[in-house]
Amino acid sequence: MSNLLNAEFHRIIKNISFWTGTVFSVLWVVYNVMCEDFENSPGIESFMFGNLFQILVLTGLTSALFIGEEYSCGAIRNKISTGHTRSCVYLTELSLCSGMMIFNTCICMLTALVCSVIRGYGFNTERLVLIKVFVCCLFTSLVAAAVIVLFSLNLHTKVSGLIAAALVMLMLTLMGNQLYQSLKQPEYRINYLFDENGQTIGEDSVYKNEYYIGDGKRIVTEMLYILDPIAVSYYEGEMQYDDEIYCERSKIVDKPFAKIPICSLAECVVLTGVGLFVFKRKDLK
Amino acid sequence: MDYVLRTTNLCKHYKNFKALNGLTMNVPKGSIYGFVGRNGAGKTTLIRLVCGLQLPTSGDFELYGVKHSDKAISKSRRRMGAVVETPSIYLDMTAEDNLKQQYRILGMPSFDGISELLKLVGLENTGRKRAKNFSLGMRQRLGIAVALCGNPDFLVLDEPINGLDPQGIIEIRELILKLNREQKITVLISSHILDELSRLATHYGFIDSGRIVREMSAEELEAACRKCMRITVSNTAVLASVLDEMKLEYSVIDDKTADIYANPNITQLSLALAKDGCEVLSLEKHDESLESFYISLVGGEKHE
Repeated sequence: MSNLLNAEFHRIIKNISFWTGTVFSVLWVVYNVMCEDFENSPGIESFMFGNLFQILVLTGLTSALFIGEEYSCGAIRNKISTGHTRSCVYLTELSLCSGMMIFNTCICMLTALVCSVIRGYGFNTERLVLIKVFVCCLFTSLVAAAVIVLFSLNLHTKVSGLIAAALVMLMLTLMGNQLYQSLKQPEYRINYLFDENGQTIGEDSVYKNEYYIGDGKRIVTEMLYILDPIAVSYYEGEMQYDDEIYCERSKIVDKPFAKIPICSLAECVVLTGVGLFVFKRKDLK
Repeated sequence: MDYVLRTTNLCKHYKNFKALNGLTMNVPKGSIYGFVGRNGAGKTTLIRLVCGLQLPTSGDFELYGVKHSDKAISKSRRRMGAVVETPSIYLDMTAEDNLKQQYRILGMPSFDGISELLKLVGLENTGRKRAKNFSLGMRQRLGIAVALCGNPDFLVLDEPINGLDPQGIIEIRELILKLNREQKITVLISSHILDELSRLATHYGFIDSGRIVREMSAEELEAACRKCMRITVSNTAVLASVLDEMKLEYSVIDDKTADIYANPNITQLSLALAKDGCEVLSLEKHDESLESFYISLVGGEKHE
């Protein structure tokens, strides 16, 4: 497997689509930080973690192209016909894709940090929380990599792998949005009183929100939300507020710093297991 | 005799279609084995199974004595190189980079030998030209060069001369003969271009509908395709003694048929046979080309 990793590493450093994705991700971050004006001074962490969704999507698409090229040019035949096992081939691509995700995530976070410092922003969150959010981002990147490899290596061409990757990300985004809307619903709603100028003057009544999900249904919804890497990448953009002071603002998942890494790791293992099972039995051409 | 590849009742089914249906063949070490069959006969399917790209539905094959189900098969595969259907090359890399990439995949410690390989296949002057700008013949040759990385002693070529011009075909043929003669590489080459194979192969396997119809050496094939008179009689034992007396070369095919490799006097032969109570049932000229021999083997059978 070390031979395959070495070969693929040399291939990736010369791959135009990978570096194009990286450059676009970096430019997106630079634009976000340098070209946008904000009313209140945002924290550096909002830029570092708030662009994870874009990074995962761009890197996912370039990874799908990179892996799909193995089929399009037939190079995967060279690996298998010279004695490398399918497990080695699969795990090599998974390692590489994970590396690409983590590399781009770190590069973009570093870019956000540098650009934010140039603009004079500072951190609004304590260091320990930032480290926890960073770790969660890394695990989310690994899940995204496992999803991309599962589809790219089990579809026969570069184009079909790319389309599948795009469709999967779109589905995960839509699903994540739906789950987020469900989890965000408060348990109670308040009817406010307003004067003739539209200013709030008091509370009229409190009533139970019929759209609030609780108990068992909430646990399941929360689990599905955590298992969706695109949804979690959005959530991680707000997680830096999930400390004692700001926890009520964005708290939709209970104990996220424990749940996200554990569930992401379990999800990676399951996805890799499924991907390996299918790939080992696949008839290659 | 040592065999590099042996298959026993190999079967491969795709849903309702049987690509291989009990295929048994043996590739002797040091031979150039010509694998002959029409489109859809199962040639490429067999090659995919041997290369590990697909798993057989049933049956066995052995590569250098190691069964395909054995984990050690991966070590046997290190000794082979293959070009399956189309050359497996990275189109955005140069010829040299493609070979370097293959060297890395094989875990070779250095890039020594790349320039010699490029010279062997006639691509030493391609420089920084990327494979996507190569002609089909150049891509085929690069594919063979990639297959030759790591000094394999078994080369599997799936229709390597498809789409090549006459010059390209000659170059590939000369290359294969050189590899077999000088480096003692065993070659399994599949093709449906019989004329070209007849200039190359030392052994033949004729495949049709997923089965080997006949395996034979080049000498046996040549003997089968010789010009002769095919005679059908009521008693070949009598025929044999008459032909011995007439000092004519012949071979008995079955209990009623024989081939005479000469132009006998028909009248004399008939009279001699009649004297011993042997009837002549039919007599015809037999002049089999490789194509007609192949058609006689596989022609008239349904293609599934």
